[in-house]
Amino acid sequence: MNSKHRPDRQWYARMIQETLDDDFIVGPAFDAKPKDAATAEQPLTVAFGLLVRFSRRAKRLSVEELAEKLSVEADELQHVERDPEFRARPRTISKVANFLDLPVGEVMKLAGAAVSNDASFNANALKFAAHSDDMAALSSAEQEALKSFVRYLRNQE
Amino acid sequence: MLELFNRRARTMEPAELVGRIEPEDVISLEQRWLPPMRAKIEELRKAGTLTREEVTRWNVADAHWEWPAKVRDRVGQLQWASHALRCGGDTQGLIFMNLVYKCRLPQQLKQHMVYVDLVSTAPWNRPRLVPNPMYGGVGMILVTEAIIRSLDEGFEGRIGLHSLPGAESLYREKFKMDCLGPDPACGNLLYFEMTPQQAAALLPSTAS
Repeated sequence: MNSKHRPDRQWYARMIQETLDDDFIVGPAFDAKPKDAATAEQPLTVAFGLLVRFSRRAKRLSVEELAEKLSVEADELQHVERDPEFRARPRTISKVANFLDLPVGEVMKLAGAAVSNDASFNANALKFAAHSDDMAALSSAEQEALKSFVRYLRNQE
Repeated sequence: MLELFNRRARTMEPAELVGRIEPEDVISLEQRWLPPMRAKIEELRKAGTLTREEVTRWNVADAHWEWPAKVRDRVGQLQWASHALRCGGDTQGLIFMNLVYKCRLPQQLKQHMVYVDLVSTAPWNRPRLVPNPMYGGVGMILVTEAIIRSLDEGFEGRIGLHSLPGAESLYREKFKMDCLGPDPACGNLLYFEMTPQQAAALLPSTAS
């Protein structure tokens, strides 16, 4: 498992000795009730951010490059991708939808600029939002998730 | 290369960190981990002392976590990441991490983080459960892996976890994580979060 962030052998050896008799066990208590799914609280905007991020990476564009293509600020795009509380401007949402060849109305709902009362739409968006990764290139599973969600959005028209 | 400390031989041994929990790890867990843990649970039940305190004292809270079902349910879901740590021809530790949880600590509220959902070590490595434990360092390597994953994901080392009572002092005092108090949604276990600054202090090489 390569990572530039991995400490060296001496660090691990020292930490092992310092924590040799400590418990690390993490998980629910013996008598705890099961936790709710992590995705239950995810807003639709998580799916919008993920759609933009995955699509950008699939096209091998940096945030700055995509911002330039859309004629929007890179800062705004960064917020769209990372902050579920952020509400993008309708103009930006529209540009994203056109760039990805998706129905503007559906993308507006996803971005929180229009109300979605469609349970099926919400469920599909949240299912997509459960996918999260930030590797340099999309894995095959991510590509499939993205394609499947884009197909779904296009069929909503 | 990762290494575990062989307590019996007093030497470091090469260990392999596997990118995701595989069927052979589940077999190891079902056939070799669970029997002694369940035997201890049964012993406590018969003695009428099957309480959270006693289960914690013997470090067998994970006997009921149903790892095989969780592995089955979570495989293919990109929100979940897992690792198995192998050494000496067997699975020594397992971890599940979630990549969609958000931070709760006010200074990093709603920032992305890696949530450490489950960490277990093989029962023969547990000092309080067996008289002559085998390997040391399993849990440390696995929790460190969550921090490394957070850095790799661009989450700057932010992690969160609910600590069982026996591990609270470790996460508070040695990992220097912030404690946000008991979480009623999680059996009142203490919830801890690590900030980028704490991650950098723990893994000095990440400071750059």
